[in-house]
Amino acid sequence: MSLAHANNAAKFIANEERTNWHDDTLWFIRSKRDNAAASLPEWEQLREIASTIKAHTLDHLETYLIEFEANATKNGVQIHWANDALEHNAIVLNILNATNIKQMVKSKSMLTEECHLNQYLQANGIQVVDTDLGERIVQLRNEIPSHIVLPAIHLKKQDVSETFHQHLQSQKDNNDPTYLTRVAREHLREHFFASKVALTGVNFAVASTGSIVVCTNEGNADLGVHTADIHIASMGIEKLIPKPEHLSTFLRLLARSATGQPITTYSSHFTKPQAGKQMHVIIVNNKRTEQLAQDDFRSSLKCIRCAACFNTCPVYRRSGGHSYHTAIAGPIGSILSPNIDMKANADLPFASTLCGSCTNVCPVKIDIHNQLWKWRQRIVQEGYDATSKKVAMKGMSVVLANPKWYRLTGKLGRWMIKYFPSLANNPYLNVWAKQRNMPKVPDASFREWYIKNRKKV
Amino acid sequence: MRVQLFIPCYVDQFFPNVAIASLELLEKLGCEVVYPLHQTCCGQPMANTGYAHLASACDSNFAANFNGADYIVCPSGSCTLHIKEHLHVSDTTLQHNIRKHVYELNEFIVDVLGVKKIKATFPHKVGYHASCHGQRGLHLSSMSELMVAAFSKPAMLLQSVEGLSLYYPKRADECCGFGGTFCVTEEAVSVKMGVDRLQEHVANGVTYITGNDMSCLMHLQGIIDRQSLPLQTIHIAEILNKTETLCR
Amino acid sequence: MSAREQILEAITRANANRNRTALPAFSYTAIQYTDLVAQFTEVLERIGAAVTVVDSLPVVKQWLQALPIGKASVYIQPNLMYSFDTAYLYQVDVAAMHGTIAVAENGAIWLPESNMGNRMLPFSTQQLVLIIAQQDIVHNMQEAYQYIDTSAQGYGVFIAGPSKTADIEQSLVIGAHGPIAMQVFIIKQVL
Repeated sequence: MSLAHANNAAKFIANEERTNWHDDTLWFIRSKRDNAAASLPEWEQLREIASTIKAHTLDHLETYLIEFEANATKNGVQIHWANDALEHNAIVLNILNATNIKQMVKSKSMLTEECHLNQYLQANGIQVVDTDLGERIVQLRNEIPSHIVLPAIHLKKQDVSETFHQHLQSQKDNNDPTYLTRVAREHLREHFFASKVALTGVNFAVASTGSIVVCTNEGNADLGVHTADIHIASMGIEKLIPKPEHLSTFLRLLARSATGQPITTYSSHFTKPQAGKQMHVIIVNNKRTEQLAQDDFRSSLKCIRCAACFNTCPVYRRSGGHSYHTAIAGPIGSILSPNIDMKANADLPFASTLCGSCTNVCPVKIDIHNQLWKWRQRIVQEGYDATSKKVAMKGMSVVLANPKWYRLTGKLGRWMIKYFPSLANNPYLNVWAKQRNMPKVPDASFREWYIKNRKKV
Repeated sequence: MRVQLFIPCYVDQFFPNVAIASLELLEKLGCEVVYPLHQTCCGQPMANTGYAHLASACDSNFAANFNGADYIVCPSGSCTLHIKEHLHVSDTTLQHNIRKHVYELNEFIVDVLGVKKIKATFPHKVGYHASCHGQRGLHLSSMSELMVAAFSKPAMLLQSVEGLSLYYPKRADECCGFGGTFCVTEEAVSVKMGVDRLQEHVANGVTYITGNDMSCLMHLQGIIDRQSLPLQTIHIAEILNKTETLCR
Repeated sequence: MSAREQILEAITRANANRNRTALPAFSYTAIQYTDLVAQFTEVLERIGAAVTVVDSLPVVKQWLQALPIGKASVYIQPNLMYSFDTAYLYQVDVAAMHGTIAVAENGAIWLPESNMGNRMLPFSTQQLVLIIAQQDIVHNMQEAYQYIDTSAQGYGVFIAGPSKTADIEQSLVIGAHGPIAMQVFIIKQVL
C-alpha cells in the first residue's frame, strides 16, 4: 500500500505554523456551518429528506436520466453521453472544433478536474481560462485545487499577490484582498467578453423540466455563459433530482453546509439556450455505474459536493488537500476515488481515524466513516496492502485467537519495555516513540491480579 | 445482576488499574462480576486495518468466553462498538445475544442500572475527552455536528462526583488522533491532533483529562510524558471508583 | 453500443432486484418569521446589499433619475422585449429590474429572464437594483418554489446580494465578477 498520503501529510505538518493556520481557517468554516444549521429548527429533518430524495433518485436513475434527456432536448438543449473521461474531453473538443474556436472560459466543475479536461484541451491547442477566482489563482500557479469549494484555501494572500504580480502585473507586495480581487475582475472580464464558449459544471439537474442549476457566489458562471454563444455543461450521472420543488431542500442545505451562508449569491436555472445560441449538456459516467452497483458504496453518489466533510475532518485540516493526490480530496474523495483507481488511491481510506464527524455533517447523510472502513477491507482483499503489514496482521490474528499465546506475547512485550527501555523508546525501531513515550509498565496484568486477588478456586 | 467483565487487551496488559476500578465500581453498584479468564482481544486492531477477514478465530475465542446471557460490560467505547457491529460467529443466536448484551461501562451504569449519581469524591479540575467511538458510535453523548438537545451520560456521572469541576475543551468533540494503527501509519497527523487536543486542556488549567477509552488516553499520555505537560490522564472508571462502599 | 446505451444498461443492471426507495413526504414545517421585511432586510444587509422600503415605484424611478450624470443607468420594464448592443451592455453602471418573489430566510430574489432585458445585464452591470413588492416576500425556499415555475422561461436566477468571494485567505470581498453593489427596493403598495 502506498504511503503517499502519510508522507505528504508529514511534509505539510512540518510547517507547524502554516498547519495551525490551515486547521483554524477550516475549523472556522465548520463553526459557521454549525451556526447556519442551528438557525433552522428543521435542520435534521431536511437532511433526512435530502438523503431520501437522492436515494430514491439513484434507485430510479435510468428512468430519471431518460426523462431529463427528453425534456432538455425538447427545450433545444443538445444532450451528449460520455462513458469515461476521455469521451467527455473529446466531446468538448468536438464542439469547439466545429466552430473553430480556440478559447474557452470555465467556471467551477470538479468533474472536469476528474477528467483532466484542461490538460487535454491545452494539448489540443485550446486555451482554457478558469474564471472562479480560487481556481484562476491555482491555474496561474500550475496547481490543482486543494478543496472542492475553496480551491485556494491552502494559500495566503502573499502567495496570491506574488502570483498576480508575476502573471497579471499587479502591484508588488500589495496583499490587500479587495485590491487583488479587483485586479482579477478586470483581467477576467476581458476573457469573459472575448470568449465565445463557456463551460460550467452542474449542481443539480432536474429531470421533470430538463433544467440544470448552477450555484456560485462570484457570478462567473453566468457572466461566462451569457457573453458566450455556446454553453457546455458537464455533469455526472448522479446530479439528477426528480422535480424543481426538490431544489428547495437542496438549496437550503448546500450553502449552509459548505460555508455557513443561507444560500449562494446566484442559483442559476438554465432551461433553454438563448435564442440563436447553443446549449450542450454532457452526461458523464466515469465509473459511477460501478460505484452504483456496489451496495456498500452506492450511497456515496448522493454527494452534492458541499465539502462539509472536508471542513470537519481533523485529518484533512492538518494535511491539506494536496496530500490526497486526487481531484476530490477529504473524506468523500477517499470513498469515491478508490472506485476510479484502486491502486493509485489505496492509501486514502486509511487516512482517517474513523472518528465519524464527516458522517454527521453530511447534508445527505452518507455514512462516510463506515464506507471508509469497508474500503479498507476491499483494498486489503484485492491485494493492495503492503506485504509487511499482511505478515504482521496474520501474526496478530493467530496470537489473539489463542489465549496462551496472547498472554505470553503480552508478558514478553511488558518485559521488553521494562528491561530494554532504550530499545522500546527508540524512534527508529518504534514509530510510536518518535514523539510519544511508551506507557509505564505495570507489575502484573489485570488477569494476573484477578487470579491472585479474586478468583475463587 | 450478573455481569461478565470484558477488558480490552491493552488495558489488561498495560492499565490493569482501569480494569480493577471497573470491577470494584460495578460491585459497589450491586453487581456480581465475573471475569472470563481466557479472553484476549475483540479483534478491532485487525478489522480497522482492513483485516476483518482474519478475525474469525479471534471472534470465536471471544464468543467462547462470553455466554450472551449476562450483561457484558467493557470500560471502552471503541471495543464495545466493535463487538456490537462486527462480531461474527457461526452460532448466529449467540452472536445476536452477545451484540445485544454488550455495554460500555457508562451506558451500562446509566441505562441498565439506572444510576445517575455516583457518591464519589474527586476534588480536582478535570478536562473531558469525548472519545469518538463511544460518542458517535454508541451515542454516549450528543455530538456537536448534530442539531439535537445536548446530553452526556459520562459527563452526568462526572458532574455528580463531589468536588469535581468539569471543563470542556473549545472543540468539544474533536478526535484525539489515536485511530488504531493510524497512530503509527500516519504518525505525524496523529501526534499533531493529540498535541492540539492537549493544548486546549492545558489552556483550561485542568489537572486531569478523563474519558471512557484508554486508547485515547494512552496516546495523549504518551505526548504528555514526552513534553512534560502539567496534567495527567485518568480513566473515568478510576474517578467514579473513588468511593468507600456504596455508590448510589 | 453507444455510450448512452452502455451507461443506461449499466445503471439498469445496478438497480435490478433492489428495494427501491420511495420519494419522501415533505411532512414538516419550514421556518416561519414574525416580521418578513425585517428578516429579509437583516439577511441582505449582512451579505452586503442595501435595502430601502419605499411607498411606490415612482420613488424608485426618481432615485434612478437622481444618479450622478456620469452613471449609465437603465430601468427594465417587466415582460418587455429589449434589444441591446453588447457594447452598450458592457458600459451599464446601474441596471434596475423587478424580481417576482423574495425569500426572507436567505435574502434571495427570483429574477426571471423576462424581467432582465438581456440575460447578461444582471451580471455585467456594476450595480444591480432589484425591485420587489412587499407582499411578494415569502418565508422560506419551500414556499418560493410553490409560487414560481422556475422552468417556465429559458433562464431565471435567485439572486441574494452583490457578487462576492472569500477565495483570498477567507477575506470576504464584495464584488467579484458580477455586480460590486446591490440595492433592493421593497415597494409597500401593490404595483
